[in-house]
Amino acid sequence: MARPPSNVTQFERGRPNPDDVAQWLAAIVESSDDAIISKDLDGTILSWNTGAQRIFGYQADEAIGKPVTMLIPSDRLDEEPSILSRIRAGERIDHYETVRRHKDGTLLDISLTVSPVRNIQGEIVGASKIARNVTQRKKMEKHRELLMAELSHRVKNTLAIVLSIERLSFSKQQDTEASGVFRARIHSLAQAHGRLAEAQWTGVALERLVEDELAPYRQSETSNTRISGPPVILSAHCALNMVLAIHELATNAAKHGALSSPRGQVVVTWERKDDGVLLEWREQGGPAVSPPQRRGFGRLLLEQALHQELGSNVSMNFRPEGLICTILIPPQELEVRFD
Amino acid sequence: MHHPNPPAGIRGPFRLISPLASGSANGNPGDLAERAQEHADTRKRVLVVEDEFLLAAVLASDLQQAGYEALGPFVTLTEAMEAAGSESFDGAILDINLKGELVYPLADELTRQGIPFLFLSGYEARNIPESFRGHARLAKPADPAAILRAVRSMLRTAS
Repeated sequence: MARPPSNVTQFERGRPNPDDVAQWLAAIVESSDDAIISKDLDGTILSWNTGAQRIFGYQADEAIGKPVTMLIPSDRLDEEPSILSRIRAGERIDHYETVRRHKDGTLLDISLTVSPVRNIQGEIVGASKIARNVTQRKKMEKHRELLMAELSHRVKNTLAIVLSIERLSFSKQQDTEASGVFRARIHSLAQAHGRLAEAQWTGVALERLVEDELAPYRQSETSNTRISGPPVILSAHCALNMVLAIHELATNAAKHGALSSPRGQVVVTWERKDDGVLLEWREQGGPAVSPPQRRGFGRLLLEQALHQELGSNVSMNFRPEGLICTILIPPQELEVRFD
Repeated sequence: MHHPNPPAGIRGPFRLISPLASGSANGNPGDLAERAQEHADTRKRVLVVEDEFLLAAVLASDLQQAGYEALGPFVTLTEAMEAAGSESFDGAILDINLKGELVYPLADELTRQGIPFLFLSGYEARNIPESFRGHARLAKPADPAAILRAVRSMLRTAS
């Protein structure tokens, strides 16, 4: 390898001896758990460390001088020409996840980093390949995914059973309206679980939750619902609480508020603040509103549950021209995404 | 709650009349049953493969009330495969996970026989093999009306 990095040469006090440096580098390469292989621009293996021996099963003398394609499964042989052409162009290939073959034929999940190697004149003469065996990690990931699918499947199955029990417990004459309200609540909870499962329990976009809840009432001709705000991802815990709250707001609007009249409109907006995300649910153009006499499930949820579960501050203003409800979602309930 | 058969005795063809379909729990006692009887010869048969007893009971009673004959419920893959080999039916509703076994061999068999089916499952698209990912599927819990709509359209495509 030409041009040892400068921090290595500084390790030796005084003038570095090139032989010492080479030996030092060789020792580092030898002791790595990763396979570190070098090859020329034709793909012929030039060096082979102990890590490579361990991962791929070939001894150095079985590998050096052989084409690197001996490690590549036949259905991926087209990868090598494209890797080589990128190397010739001076590109580096970083953490490319692929599959390689062990001497005994076993397929391995590999994370590959390939960098061009230059000679003293700066010309690209070959490539260094660092291969990490990620088979175990992949296996764990698959296992985790399986467990999550099972969990999600179970949650939804259980909610479906709850609905069946409800169906079988009450006859059709018994309070069908209440029964419908109950079923709709369970369905919206189930839908939120579905969204969480889709996102592998990493969180749900606030916009998606609001859209799901308003979807049954949306009329494109009258644009009776408007939703806007910056991208915000809610934690799983927050999403499951918020969806119930928004469900109550939506069903209330459909029954008594803006969505009960053809000219009414629900405008849901949110913005980022220093102390979280402030969501506003604003109804307008509907029938005249007066504060409800009864504190039902919806208000219990909005005014108490959200506060206790999320630490949210919720305010409800029953203006005559329409309800305004604001919910402050604290920062700890938001998922920060870096992608 | 009263069932005419103990759970263990419920095997296809479906003979269970759930509380939903029985007169006492129904708005118009006898009405649907009579109608169902009238159309006994023309009623379409729907194979029900679902391992959760309560879900299957409600599903079957919804199907019966809508004028279909519910065949099943079959709770294991083996039972369901046997039924697919010996019974005649017009369509099928398949839960995907049957006590830990996946229903896909039956789905393949139905595809081979040209019998339409739809999945009713809590699985996400990502957990379903690619060959069936685009297939008609209702997410659990599904609205009963949505199930009946899906069944209607499934049987329409068949005829």
